[in-house]
Parts: sequence; structure tokens; C-alpha cells
Amino acid sequence: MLTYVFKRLLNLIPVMLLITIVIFWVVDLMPGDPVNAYLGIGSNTTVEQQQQIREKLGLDKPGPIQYLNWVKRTVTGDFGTSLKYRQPVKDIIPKYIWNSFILNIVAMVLAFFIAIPVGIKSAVKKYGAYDNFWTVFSLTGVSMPSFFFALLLIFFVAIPISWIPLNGMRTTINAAMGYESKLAEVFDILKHMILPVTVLTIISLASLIRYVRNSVIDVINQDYIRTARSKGLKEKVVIYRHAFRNALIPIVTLLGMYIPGLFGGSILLETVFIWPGIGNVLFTSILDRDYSMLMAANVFYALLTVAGNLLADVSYALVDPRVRVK
Amino acid sequence: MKKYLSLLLCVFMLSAALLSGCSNTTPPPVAEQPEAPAPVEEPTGTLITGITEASGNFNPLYYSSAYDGHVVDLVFETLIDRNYEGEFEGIVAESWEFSEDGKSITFKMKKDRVFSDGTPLTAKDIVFTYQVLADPSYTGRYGSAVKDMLGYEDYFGQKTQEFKGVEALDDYTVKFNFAEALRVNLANCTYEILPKHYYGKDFAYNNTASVEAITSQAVGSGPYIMKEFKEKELILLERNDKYAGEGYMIKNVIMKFVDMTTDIVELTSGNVDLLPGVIEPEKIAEARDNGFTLNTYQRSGYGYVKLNCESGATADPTVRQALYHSFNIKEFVNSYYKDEATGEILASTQYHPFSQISWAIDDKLLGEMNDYAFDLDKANKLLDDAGWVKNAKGIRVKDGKELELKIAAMPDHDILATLIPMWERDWGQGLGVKLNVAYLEFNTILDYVIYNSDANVKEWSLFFLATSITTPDPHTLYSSFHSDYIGSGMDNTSRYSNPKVDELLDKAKAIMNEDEAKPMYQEIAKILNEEAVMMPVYANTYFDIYAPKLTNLKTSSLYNWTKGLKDAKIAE
Repeated sequence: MLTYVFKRLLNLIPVMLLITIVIFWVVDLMPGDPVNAYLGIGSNTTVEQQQQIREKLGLDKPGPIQYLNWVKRTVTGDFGTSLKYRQPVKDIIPKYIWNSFILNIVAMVLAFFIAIPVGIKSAVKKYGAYDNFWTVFSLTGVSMPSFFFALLLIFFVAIPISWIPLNGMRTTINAAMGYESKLAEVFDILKHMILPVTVLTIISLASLIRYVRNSVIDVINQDYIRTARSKGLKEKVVIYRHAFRNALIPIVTLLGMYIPGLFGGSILLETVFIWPGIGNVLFTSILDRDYSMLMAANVFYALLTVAGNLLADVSYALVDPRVRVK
Repeated sequence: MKKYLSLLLCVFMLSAALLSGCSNTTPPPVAEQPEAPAPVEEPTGTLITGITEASGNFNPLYYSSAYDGHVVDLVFETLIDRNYEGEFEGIVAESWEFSEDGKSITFKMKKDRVFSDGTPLTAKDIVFTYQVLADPSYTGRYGSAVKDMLGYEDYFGQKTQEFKGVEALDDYTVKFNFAEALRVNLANCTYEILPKHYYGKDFAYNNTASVEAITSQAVGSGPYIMKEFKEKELILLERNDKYAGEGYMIKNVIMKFVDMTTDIVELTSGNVDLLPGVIEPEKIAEARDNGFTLNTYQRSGYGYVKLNCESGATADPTVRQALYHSFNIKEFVNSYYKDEATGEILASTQYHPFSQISWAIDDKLLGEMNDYAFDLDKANKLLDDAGWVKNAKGIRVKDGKELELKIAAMPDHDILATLIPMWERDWGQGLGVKLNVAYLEFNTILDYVIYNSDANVKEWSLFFLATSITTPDPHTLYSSFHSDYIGSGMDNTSRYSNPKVDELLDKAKAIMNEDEAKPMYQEIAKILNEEAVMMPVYANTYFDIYAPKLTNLKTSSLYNWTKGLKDAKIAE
């Protein structure tokens, strides 16, 4: 097992190199460069001044050289400086990622805790009223654009109910002037999380319920379940001890896939709720051609995805004794 | 302590009232007592302004977003600045005078200015600020302020380490030297002043990295101190108690991040007190219905369509005129900017290239402008006469070439989404022009028409952008229409070249007196209008909307809310 993990980790190096080359190439293909985006319209800088900035940032060199320079810096932990923020990228990104993370982790835990029992019950009572209700719910949830749902909540929940905040992460005046206590701040943030967490949970709930339901249905039709039932075991024991544990296997895989998403922000949702997350920052960094920021973030997400896959594979082997890695 | 003070104040006022009530022969003895506190007004209250963006880079030499600029405006001071009436007045400068040859300007500075850490502001801070702007390693976007200064090229080109452009004559006198005597030189002396001891601790020639690294911890001599920046949440500014200037009697200014879709709800529900620069008719109606105060002013700038004067069919002035005649600008403005509640149109149309507040405009000029009234027949006739004939497909052809327009448009852009169907109707079907719309995101368009324009000149015929003009001086036309500014990285985006216009621009920029320069700019405006180099589409009306508790906020297009705070008051 350990050698397997070690081998997979070694595999990561060429995979990451390939990913970074592709990302760098695509970023380089985009028309415009960070200097143009930073100067914008009407800066009236001379062409010499523009050229000077490019030289200082190493943007005058050909793409492959820029890539090699980037690799050299990145390996030493220097992710570059953002031209817009004028701060090292590694100082900017973590703050936003953390904000996105607390939103996502709460939503994910809630989604899993609701989806598993609901999915099982739907599977057991397949095509019943309960199942049909959740099927309609899931399909609506999957089809509804998140920002639209968010706006609905703002206008029909937050505005009539005055204690539910419209948006933001903290009450402005307290965030500026300070809170009475740390606890008051935590409570305030929780209050501000109500709407965005609701949207995030319902959206991921929709597909999760379908996932759990289908995987339980698959298992229920297996021979050993019939055997268990014919042994005279209680239905509860059959479902929760025998069926559920086997149905868990694909769900564990799903969990691995969810990991990168935990750190990724949602552009639209964070914009509508003005949540200081990473989503919008990354989106604007594309528009701003903020190469350092883009590269650092993309590499981080690529790494998370690859690591998530690895984790899923390993946990798959852990829950399913039939799967043995060599 | 405070209670005691106000009590004393009451006693003082009461006795003053009583005394003035009895007789006017005896002078009030209380006033002569040195212990009696003068009724000095203390800054009070908190203002929350909604902003949609800010990166936290509040370094005046490097910031790029207008919202970061608001913080810079409040934290730093300049030598001189335009007042509400649009005239320059001294801020740090006591007085200024031009040298006889007009190439130098000497500023006498006020001696009471201190930075918020207590260090006095002296001439060396001003010299430092401009040295960084001129430095060969400077990577900010404000280098244009120094490019006309004496010795800039040698300093920037690393031929000398001494910058002759700005020199300190003594601690409180600073002299700016320019290569030529230009009217606009004075405007280049208005840069925010950075404290050398703070930003320039590790600064050396050709090494500005340490100046650049100070971003959100801004320190200046302005009315406010930068207290706190919370990413995507808020910026807190507090009144600088060492500020030596007048006004700014609001104690705390908070800029809160808002979203365009819900900002008006935040205002009506009391989360923010002020939303500057609102343009959407629905939001304005909502604010008016809820009893908010509105400041209205014309945008200084406009949205425009520029035509490619160098390549393709639009290189022919007749084609441009035909297009102008068949572009129903009034129809667009009257529908797009209509306030349904009042029937008012929240924008105006214009035919000259100036900002609405430019001193180059007068009624005579407006009367002489061709307004290219919508006239499809006239447009068709222009093309017929120029030899463009319709082929079997209904597309006009001349010398075997189809009349094709390559439109560089932005996707998800409300204005363009309204304009393009109009163009398809009037230019496409009405004139027989083949339209080819390419959707390009904003920075790609900039790459096309500015930064990489030499390589892309054949790729586009027209594009739409909007401009904001931050000065009433029409000199801004220089870089937009002078033939020296054609090429990659330069601003003559329509690639228009006319020796007559070049000559007028060169002559007018050196004329110090505005009234003498005015006829020349008007002549330029007429030529550009006649040749249809650019089609200004709209100049919209801006609204600053705020709660009634905020009073006396004067704003205009060149005097934004940060400047308006000088006289504004807020009720608790």
C-alpha cells in the first residue's frame, strides 16, 4: 500500500509539469498581456515606458524562457507578484481561499448529512411519493442557476426578515470598528453564512441525493441482499448494515472529487453575496491577465485535483477489501 | 472630560447670549479669559459609501482602480487641485508662478503641512515623488506626468542620476522645469505627495522595488488616515487629527463593497449611506421614491464609436459619413437612457470630441457641428455617388471589394447588445453593408486597437468604448488624433492622420491663454466632425444618491464625492 502511494506521488511530478506547461501555454495564447491590462485606456504612458515595464517583469522574453523562469521561481516557493495588487501572490490568495473554504466545508458537511439518509430512503421506497418528491427537488436544484436562486433568497428571505443579512461576511460597522468579543464575531459570520450556505447546500444536495439513491438501488438488487433478507434479518439491518456499507464505496470516491471544490470559490455566488472568497478574485485575474496569480491558483487547483483523485483511490481500497492495489 | 467641556461650552454660550442681550457697550469679558475653550468643531459621525471594487493597493504611484483612487484622494494631498468651480487652488502650495520663458513653475509651499506620523511635509518629499515617477525601474502607470519634464529622457535612459525636472530650492519652495512651455504643464504638477522617509527608506536610483511594496499601509498628509482594509469587505478611514487643511468634518469614512444587482437595496435598507455614480434609471427611480437625495451631473466623457481611418472601407471619409448618417444615435439614447417614471432621458448626444465640461465648447460651436441627422436616403446617396454599387446579394461593392465592416464588440455588453441590432437594420439592410461582428473581451479589444494595433490594423473597422476625461482642457485630443500617436501602444486608435489637425494641435498646446487656444480646438472639432473620424454616442448623466442624513455634499463630474466630503456633514 505504501509503495503504491509513493509511486502515485512520484507520478505527480510529470503530471504537474505537463499541466503547468499547458496552462502556461494557454495563458500565453490569450491576446493582451498584464501590462496592457494594468495600463488600460488613457494612461498616456510612452511606448518606451511600456517597454520598460515589460522588461522589468520579464515579459519581453519568449514564452518558453518565461516558463522556465517561472518554474525556477516556483520551485523555490516564489509565486511572483501580482501587478494589480503589487503584493506577492502567496500573501493574497490564502486569505480568500480560507473564506471560500469555511463556506464550502459547512455546505458540504450539511449536504452529505442530508443526502445520505434521504438517498437511502428514496432508494428503499423507489418510485414512491417520497422518492418522487426528492427526484423533482433534485432536478430543480440541478437546473436552477445558483445566482438566480441567490437573488430569490435575497429578495424574498433577507429583505423581509431583517435579521438575516443581505450579503457580506460581517456586519460592516462591527467589521470596521471591532467586535465586543471573538464569539460575537463568530456568531455574526455564522449569521451571514445562512443564505450562501443554503444555496450551496441545496445545489450540491441535488446531485448527491441522486448519487446515493442510485448506488443504494444497485446494491439492493444484488444477490447477497436477497440472501440477507431470506435469512430473516430485519429490513433495517439489511439496509444499513449490508446494503449501505457497500453503497458507500462510490460515495467515498465522490468525496475525493469534492476536495478541490472545497477550496475553489463560486464566481457568481460570491459576487452576488459579496462573500470575500477566491472565485471572483480568480475570475478578475483572468480579465487582468494577472499571470502570476493565474498560474499560482491554477497550479494549486491542479494539485488539489490530482491529490483528490489519489485520496479517492486510496480510500476506495480501504473501504472495499476486494480492491487491492499492487 | 467631554461632559465637562460641553458644560463649559454651554455656560460660555449662555453667558454670551445673556450679555449680548443686555447691552452692546460692555465687551463680553468671558471671551478674554484664556481658559474658555473656543467653540472648535470636532469631526463626528460615520459615512458608509458603497463601492464595487478595490484591490487594496493604495499606493498613489501604482494603483490602477478608480476605487483605490478614492482612498488615495482622501489620504494624500497635492500641491494644487481643482476646486468645485474647476479652478486650480493651492492645497499644499501657498502660491505659484511661471518663469518668464513659461518653462518653469515655482511653488511656494505652506509650512503647516505634516504627514499623519507627525513628520513635516517639505520640498524633498515632492522631489522624491517625481523622482520615482521618472525612475528607469518605475513600473506604475503614471509616468506620463513626468515625460514632458526637463531631463526626463536622460534620467529615464540612465544617462544621468540627477533629475532636473523637479528641484527643491529650499525646504518650502519647489521648482518644476519642463522641456517646453505648455499650457498643460501645470496639471502635471498635481501629483499626490508621498513622504520620503516612509516610502523612500530604501529607495535608490533605478531601484523602486521598496516604494512599490508599500500598498495598503498608505501614509500621507491628507484629511484621512488609512485604518483598515478587509479584502472584499471594507476600507476604514479615520479623520487625520494632524490634518492642517480645512473641512472634512466626518470622523469615519467606510467604503463597503456592494454588488451592482443589490446596491440600491443596501441603500434603501440603510446598509450604506451613499452610492456614487449611479446611471441606471430603475435605481434612480427607486431612490427618489424612497426620499433619498440625488446629485446630478453630466459625465465628463462619453461612449463613442471610432472608425478605422487607415485600413478597409472606413479609410474613405465618404463611407464614414454615410455610416454616421445612418446611425440613429438619438433613437438609441432616447430608448436606452429613458427614465420610465419621469420620461426624462438620462443622457445627452454630442457631436464634438470634448468633454461636456470642456472650456472649448460654446453655443457657436454647438451650432456649427453637423449633427448627422438620421437620413438613410442621404447615406445611400453618399455611397452611390462614391461608386459603391449593390451586387446581387444586396451588398455594396466597389472595385471588386465588398463594403464590409468588421465590428470589434464586447460580449455581454448591454449597450452593444442594443446597438448591434440597430446597425444590422440600418447599415446592413438599409445601406447594404456586410457586417461582421467579432466578440472580443475588453483587454483583447485594447490589444487590437492600442497595444498591438500595428499588427491588427486590418482586423477591425470600428469599435465601441467609453472614455472619462479628467480635465476641462481639450489638450486630451492631442494623443487621440495627432498622427505622432499612431502605432502600437499609442492612443490615436482611429489611426487618423491629418497635417492640418497636427499643426493646430501643436500650436494650441503651447498657448497659455484658454481663450486664445479655444478657436483652434473648435476648428479641430469641426474637422473631426466633418470627416466622421469618431461618432460620440452618448454622455450619460451620473447620479450620486445618498441618505438625507448626509448634507451639503457638493459633487460634479470633476469633483467627486471624496472631494465633496470637504464641506459635507453627517447627522448622527
